[in-house]
Parts: sequence; structure tokens; C-alpha cells
Amino acid sequence: MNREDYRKAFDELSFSADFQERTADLLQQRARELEKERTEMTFNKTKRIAVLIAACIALLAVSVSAAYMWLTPAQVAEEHNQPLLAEAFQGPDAIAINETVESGDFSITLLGLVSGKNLDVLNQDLEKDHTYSVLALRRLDGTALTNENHSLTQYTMTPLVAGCSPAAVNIWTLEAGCSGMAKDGVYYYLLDTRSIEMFADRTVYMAFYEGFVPNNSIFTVAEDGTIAFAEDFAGVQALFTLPLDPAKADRAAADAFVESTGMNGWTNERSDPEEEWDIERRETEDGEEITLRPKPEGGEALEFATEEELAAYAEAERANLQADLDRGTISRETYDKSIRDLEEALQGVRDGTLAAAILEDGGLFTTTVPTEGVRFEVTQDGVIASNDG
Amino acid sequence: MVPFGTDETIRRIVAAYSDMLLRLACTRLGSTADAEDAVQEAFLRLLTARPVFRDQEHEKAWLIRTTLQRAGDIRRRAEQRNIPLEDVAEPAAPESPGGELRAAVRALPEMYGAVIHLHYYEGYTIKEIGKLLGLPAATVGTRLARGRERLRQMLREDVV
Repeated sequence: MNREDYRKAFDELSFSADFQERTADLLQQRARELEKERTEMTFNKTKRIAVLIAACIALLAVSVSAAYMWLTPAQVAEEHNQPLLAEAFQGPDAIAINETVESGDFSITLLGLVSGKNLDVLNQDLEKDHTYSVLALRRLDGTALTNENHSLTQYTMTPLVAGCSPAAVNIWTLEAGCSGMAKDGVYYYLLDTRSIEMFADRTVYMAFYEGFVPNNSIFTVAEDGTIAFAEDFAGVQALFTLPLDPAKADRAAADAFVESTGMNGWTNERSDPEEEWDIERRETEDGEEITLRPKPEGGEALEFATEEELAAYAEAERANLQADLDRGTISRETYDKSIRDLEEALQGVRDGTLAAAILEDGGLFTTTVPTEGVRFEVTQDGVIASNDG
Repeated sequence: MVPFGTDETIRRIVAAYSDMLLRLACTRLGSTADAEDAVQEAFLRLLTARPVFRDQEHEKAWLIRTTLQRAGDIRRRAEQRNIPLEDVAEPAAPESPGGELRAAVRALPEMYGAVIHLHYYEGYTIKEIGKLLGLPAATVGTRLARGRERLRQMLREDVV
């Protein structure tokens, strides 16, 4: 297979001629509906916040240590036009957390979460429970965060589970959607993931940090499965432990989920890139060309046979084939073809156009002579893999 | 960047990414109709999630990941209902080399298919794919090598 064949195969696909037109129309219609809903919601919300401010002033009269006022998770859901979710955040299944961590220039407060089915009116997924979490971020120097000066994706908010690799359980594997909005100088994250209640019999965290996909530059995992930020991770960070109800755990579903990700491996040791790549350096007129090829994992490098080794192998193999033919366990056609293959391999190795390796199971692997830096391995599942581009 | 939701940005994004995302979805889904559903869902998600993108590369990466998630969801739903996806998809068994290759790509584990497609069809380098999928370059390289080897094995076996 080469790139041309691949492109040709996928260029053969034909889609609806009006797909783009139809999709743009659908999105425009939905955008108008959302805008209408947002306008109506803004009017209601203004009144509700006015009541909250009044309550806050009353509290200040009796206590000078009144907490910073956030929107509630329900109000954040309302801001996102999610009435069912807002209702759920005020229902019996909601978990209020209201814990704050100060890190870098920020105060990070995990406000709460709720899990359930069919709470998202915009993105109904009838088959899966989801967990919705709300976090508030504010700058410690008092500078207001706005939709313009804060980038939602510069930071990651993700559940993690003790005993599971951060690479296996995170917002990417949990099929998350994250929405952000600024309100009165505070930036709110509304995170929607597949339900994390299945992990409730273990320690479940909500991590917030400056960065992208969880890796061992950001996190370490202790022998007992406990997850913490790496000591030298200098970015903004907060790690909250979630008070989930262990009775809601589903160990079988959790294990199946982790298994399905295929990513439950983890090491705290940061690898040297040279251990993961074959590096080929070549002098060119302009300087030096460096080619990196990923090393196939899991097996020993395949060693190619010398001409003499191959000749000895061919002699023994001819005798075996003749014996099989005499016993009637192979047909004449198979015998002839096998002999032809052997002769071709021998001739190719003699004239330098082929390389051949004798495999542990007695088979012969032939290939065109690999260029410098290209190597072959037999992987753990018995497949021969190369690192060529 | 201009927020997604205005008529102008909707038309721009749909025109810019539809073809790429539809073919990408077909690495998971055999039916082009299902692929169209997956891509529409990804665009709708963009409208409702209102993510803020640093630049167009970030926007593209978000759409690629969301499309793959949606395509994976559709595939899993079909599998749970025991709908034979391949039957729905390309009703006449893939007799052309192209159909055979597409079927082999769909048969790859999810983690390999996208990497193979982004490299072979879109021409992205390992480093670029790492940025698009949020994976270390070494992981992309390993997936590319393993995915390619599995494809070779499958296509060889089919031919024989």
C-alpha cells in the first residue's frame, strides 16, 4: 500500500451532493434558536442574580469574612441554556463541593457536579449516563477574566482515577465536552463527560491544570495508584478529591472501560527520545538531514541471514519439501512454488537485491534490502514490523 | 478568532472541513450516511460547546477529535444493537482494491485508524498528527508503524 493507493481508495467515496449546503442551513437555524434561547435566559438570569447580591450584602452585615460569590452550578447550567441540567444541580443527586485551591495567579474553585441521564437538552445521548462538573476560576490580583482574555483550552479540567493510568481515564477517553464562559470577572468551566460514578469505589479526582493531555511531565502515579502533580510541574494546578457515593460504583463497567481505551500503561520515568526513535543523520549540501523513525516495540531485532546460512537453510528445506511431497502432505504445485520461492530468495541474496531472515518457526522472511537505519522486528503478537517511513 | 455561530463562520467552517472530516469518519464507519451524521454532530457540538480556539490549527484539531468521538459513538451504538455495520455500509462486499483497503482500515483498532488516515490521506507528519490528536509524537509513530503492519497483514491475507 502506498499513499497514492490510499488516497484513491478514500477518494472513491461519494457523499451527498448537498451535504455542505444542508449542514450549513441546519447549523444556521440552530444558531438562531440558541441565540433566541440565550436572550430569553439572560432576562431571567438578571433578576435571579439581583436576589443573590441582596442576600450577600445581608450576610456581610454580620460577617466580614463572607466568601467570594460565585454563580452556582445550576446558574452556570442556565447560562448554557440547559434547564434540565440546572434542575439536576438543585436536585438530590447533586454534589456540592465548593473547595478552593490557589495556584499561580489563580483561585480555582470546584463548585459541584451531578451525574445522570438525559440532562443535556442540546446533546441527548439516550444510552449513556453523564457527569457534569462546574469549576470557577478567578485571578487573585482582581483582574477580570473575560471570554476575550481567557483561553478555555489553555487549561485542562479532567477527572482522573487512582489506580488507573491518567492516560486511560481523562476527558479525551471519557468523550468530554467542555464549555466556558466569563461572568462578572469569573470564568466558569462546565465539563460534560461520560459518567464517572462507575469509578466511585476508588479515589476519583478532578484535576485542573495548565496544559494539554495528561502525561508524566504533569502527573506521577504512586505504587498504590495515588495520582499527584509531578514535583517539577510548574503550571497552574489543582487536584480535588470527589466525594462520590461508592454504592454507585460499577467495577466491571469501569474495568471494561479502562480496557477499551487500550491505554492503561503508565511510567513515571520520562523516556529519552533517543530510546523511542531510530535516528539517522546524513550530511547534505545544506547541512545535516536528521531522520527519525519510530522503533517497533515488543520484539527482538530481526537478523538477516548470510548467503551461506541461507544456502544451508535452502538445502535442508528442499529435503523437507521432498519428504512432504513423498508423503503426500503437500501437492506438487505447492512443492514447485516453494522451491521457486527458495531459489528466488537465494538468487536475490546472492545478487544483493533481497535480504532474508530465518524465523524461529522455520519460515523465511524476505524483503528488499533495507536502507540504513531501517530495521525489522518480530513483535509480541508475531507480526513482523519495520520502522521505515 | 470570530466566534462560531455567525452565518459567515458557519459557511467557512463547513466548506473548509467537511470533506476532510467525512473521509476521516469513514475510517470508523462503513456507511457514508453515518459519516455524514457524525460530522454534522461534530459541527453541532461546536455550536453548542462554544469553545474558544487559539488559531485555525486548534480549531481543526478540535473538529477532528470530536468527529472521531462521534463516529466511534455511532459505531458502538450500532454494534450494541448488533447491526452489521459493514453490511449497511458497502452492501456489495468490497470487491475493488479501494473497498478492500477501506474495509481493512475500518477493521483496525480505533487508535490506529485515525493516525493511518491523517498520515496517508491528509499527508500530515508524525509531529503534526501528535498535535492534532493530542498525543506524543513517539506514540503516533508507534501507532503508525503498527497500524501499517496490520494493514499489510490484512490485505495480504485477503488477497491470498
